[in-house]
Amino acid sequence: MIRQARAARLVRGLLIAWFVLPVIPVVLWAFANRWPFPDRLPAQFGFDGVRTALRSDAAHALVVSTGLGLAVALLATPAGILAARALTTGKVFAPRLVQAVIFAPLVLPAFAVALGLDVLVLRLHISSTLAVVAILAVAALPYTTSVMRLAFGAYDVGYDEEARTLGASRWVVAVRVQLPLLAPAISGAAFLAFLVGWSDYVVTLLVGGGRLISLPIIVASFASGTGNHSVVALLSIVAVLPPLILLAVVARFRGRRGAQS
Amino acid sequence: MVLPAVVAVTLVVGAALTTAILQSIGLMPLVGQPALSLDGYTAASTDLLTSIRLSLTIAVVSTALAVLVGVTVALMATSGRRLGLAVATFTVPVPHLIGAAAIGLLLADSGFLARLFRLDEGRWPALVGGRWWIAVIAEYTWKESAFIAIVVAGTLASRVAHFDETAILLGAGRIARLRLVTLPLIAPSVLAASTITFTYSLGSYEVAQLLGRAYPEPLAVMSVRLFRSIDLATRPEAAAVAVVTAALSVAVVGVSMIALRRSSVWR
Amino acid sequence: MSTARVPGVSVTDLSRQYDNASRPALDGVTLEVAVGASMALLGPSGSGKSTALRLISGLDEPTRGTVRIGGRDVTATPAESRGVGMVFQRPLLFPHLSVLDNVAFAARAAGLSRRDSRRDAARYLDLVHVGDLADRSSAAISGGQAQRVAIARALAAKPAVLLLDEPFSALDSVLRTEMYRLLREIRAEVDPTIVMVTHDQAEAVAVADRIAVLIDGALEHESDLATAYSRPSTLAVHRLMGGLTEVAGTVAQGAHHSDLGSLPIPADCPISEGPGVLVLRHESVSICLAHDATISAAVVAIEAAGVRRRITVAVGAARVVVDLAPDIDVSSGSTVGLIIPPSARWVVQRL
Repeated sequence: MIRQARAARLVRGLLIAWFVLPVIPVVLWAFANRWPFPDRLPAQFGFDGVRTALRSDAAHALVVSTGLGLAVALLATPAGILAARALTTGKVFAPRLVQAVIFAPLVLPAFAVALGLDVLVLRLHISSTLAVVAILAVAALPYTTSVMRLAFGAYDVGYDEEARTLGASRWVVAVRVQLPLLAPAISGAAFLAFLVGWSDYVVTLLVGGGRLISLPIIVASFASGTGNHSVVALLSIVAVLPPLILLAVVARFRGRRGAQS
Repeated sequence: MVLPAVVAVTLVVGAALTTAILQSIGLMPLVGQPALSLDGYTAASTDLLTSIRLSLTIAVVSTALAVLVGVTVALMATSGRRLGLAVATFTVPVPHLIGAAAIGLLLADSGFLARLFRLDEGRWPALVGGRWWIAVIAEYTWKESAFIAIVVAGTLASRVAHFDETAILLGAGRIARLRLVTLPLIAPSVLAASTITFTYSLGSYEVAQLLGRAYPEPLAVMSVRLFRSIDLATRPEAAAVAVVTAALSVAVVGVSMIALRRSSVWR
Repeated sequence: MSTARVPGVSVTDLSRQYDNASRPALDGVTLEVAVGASMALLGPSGSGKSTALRLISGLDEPTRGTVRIGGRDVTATPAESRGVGMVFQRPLLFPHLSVLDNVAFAARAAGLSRRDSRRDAARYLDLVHVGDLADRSSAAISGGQAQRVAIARALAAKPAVLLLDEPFSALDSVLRTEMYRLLREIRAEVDPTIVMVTHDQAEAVAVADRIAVLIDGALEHESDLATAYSRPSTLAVHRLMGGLTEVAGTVAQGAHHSDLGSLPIPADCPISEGPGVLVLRHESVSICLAHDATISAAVVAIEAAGVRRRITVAVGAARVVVDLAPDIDVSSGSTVGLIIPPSARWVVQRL
C-alpha cells in the first residue's frame, strides 16, 4: 500500500516536472549575461539580453504578432459562431459535407496550403499580409466552430423562449440573453483564434514574403544563429506572456460566468 | 449562415490544393510553358520515401508518448490530483516555435540538462540534431500531451464520473473499473485528439527545422527547402511533396473517422 | 427486535457533517432493517435520506457512527467490497455495453469470462421482463426499460442489500405502478433486503414494510406502515404522511381539550400534560346527521380527491378534513355531525 502511494507520488512529480522543465532554461537564460559551459547556473545575471532585444526588431514584431492575432480572432470568431449556430439548429444543406469542409484545415498541413497559395497570391497581386490573415483565419475556423458548437449544444433554448414570452424582441433576446450566456464560450473561441494568428510560423514565412516579421519569425532567426541564447530566451518570454495573460483572463471570465449558469 | 465559413474555407483550401497539384504536375511553372509531367514526383522519389518514413515515425512516436502522458495526467486529475493538468494547461499558449527554442535550450549539447548532469560535450547524447530526432519528438510530445490531457480530462469530467460510481457499486475494483469502464469510455476522445496531433506533427515545419538535422528531412522541411531554393525548377518537386503530405494526412484522418464511426460511444 | 436474528443492514449513530455546512446532513441516525425486509426512507428534500444511502453504500464516509451489513461492521470497507447494490434515479447504463453486458458487468468485474457472465445475466433480465432486449445497445431502449435493466444489473451482483435512491421519480405514474408491481415480484423471487429513498408516502407504502422518516438529518419516526399513518411521532411526520387535520389544544387528565371538546386519547400518547396538537387521518373520521353525534360541525369547503370528495368542517377555530364515501352528499354551509373514533385520535407536540 505504501509502495503504491510512493510510486504514485513519484509519477505525479515526474509528470509535473515534464511540463515545467523546458521553462527553466528559458527563464535562466533570459537574464544571464554570462553562462559559460559547464556551469549549472549563470555566472552573471544582467540585462544584456534585454538590450539586444530592444535594439532588434522585437517591438515591431510584437506589434505584428498582436495585429495578426487580433485580425484572425476578429475574422474567425464571428464566422465560427454563425457556422456553429447553423450546424446546431440543423437547417444546413448536407451537414456532414459542411462539417468536413470546415474541419478540413485541421487535417491539411499548413506548409502545403501556404506553398500552394503563395504563387496565386503573387500572380493576383494580393497583399501578402491580407493573404496571411485570410489563411490563418481559415486555419482557426475549426477551433472556433467546435468551441461554439459545444456551447450551442449545451445552450438551453428555454431561456430564449422565456424571454420572448416576456416581450423581448429577437434583437433584445440576442443581445441581452444569448450574448451574455454565450460570452464565456465566445471568449474561449476568440482566444484560440488569437493563438492561431499569434503562434504561426510557416504561413507568415512563406506567404508573408519576408516582409511580415512576427515574434516567431524573429525568435527563429536568432535561434538558428549561434550565441544568441539570451535574446532567444527573452524573446520567447515576450512571445509567451501575452497569450498566458489572456488565458488567465479568459479562464477567470469563464469560471465566474460558468458558476452563474 | 454557414456560408461565410464554408465559402472562406473552400476558397482558401480549394485554391491552395488546386494550385499545389497543378504546380506539382508542371501545369503552373514560375517560368516557361506549362507542360504536364510527373517529374515533380519522380525526381526525388527515394528521398521522398525516406522523408515519408521519417515523418511518420516521428508522428507515431510523439503521438504514442503524448497519449501515454496525457491520459495519465487526465486520470490523475479526476481522482483529485489536479496540479498536473493545471501545469499542462500553461503549455497551451506556447507557440510551437517557442517550444522548440525552449527544448533546444534544454536538450542541446550545452543545454540545461547537460549542465545539470555534468556531462560535457563528448558524453551528452546528441538529442538536438541527432540520429534519433529526440529533441523534435520531445517538443511535439510536450505540447501534444497537454492537449490530449485537456481533451480527455474534459471527457472524464462530463461523461465518465457517474459511471465510475455505478461500477464501484457493482463490485469493480480500481483496475477493473479502468479496464472495463474508464478506458473504453475515453477511447473515442483519445482517438480523435491523437488524430489531430498526429496530422499536426506529420505536417509541421518549424520544430523539425530548428531541432532536427540536415538529412534525412521530414516532409515539411524538404518541401520548404525545395520551394525556397534558387533553382526554380524544384518548384514542382516542392509542390509534389506538399500534395503527398496532404494526401497522407487525409488518409490517416479517413481511417480514424471510420474507426470512430464504428464505436458505439461516439455521439 | 429479536437478538437471535441478524439484521440485513443496521446503522448506529450515523452522522455526516460537510465542511461548509451549518448543520450536519445526517445526525445520529440509528436504524435496523431485517433480512429480506423492505424499508422506505421518507423525508422532504434536504432531509439527508440520499446522504444516508451514500453512507450505507460506502460512496461516502461518515463523520461518526457505524454501518453493519449482515452483522459485520463495514464502516471501513470500501464500497466495491461491501456487497451493496444501488439503483439511482437515472439508470446510468454503460453506453459502451449492450443491455446484456450491462447486467453481466458485476460478474465480469469479478473475473468471470464473458460467456459465463452473460449466462447468469440473462436470467436476471428475464426476472425484470426485458429478456428480449438483451442484444440491444443501452441507448436504444426506453426510460422505463432502462430502469428495469438497471435493477437487473444491481441484482445480478447478488448484493446483501439493495439500495434504491428515488428510482422511479423520473417515470410517469403508469410506469411507476408497473415498477411497484415488479418490485413486489422481485421480493417474492429473490428476497433481497431493500432500503428505498422516496419523498412520496404513497410510493413508500406501495413498496415497503416499514417506514423511517428523516427530517433535517434526524430520524423522527420509524415504524410499520399502519403506525406511521395513525400514530406519527411528530407533527412534521404527520404532514409528510399526508395528514391534513391538526387541532391545537391542551392535554389534561387523559383527554385533549380544544374547540372540538374534550376527547379522551390513548394512554400511550407521548403527551400526557400540557399543550399538544391532535392529529387525525381524514380517512379515519366520518360524518353523520347532526343530531346523531356529540360534535356538531359546519361544512366550510368541499373539494375533489380522486373519485371521492373531501370536505373540511369547522368547529369553532378547529378545522377537520373528512374523506366522504361516494354516496354521501353534503352542501357547503350545512351542519353535520362529526365522528372521531377513539382509535383515530393521536396527540403530538406543537412545533
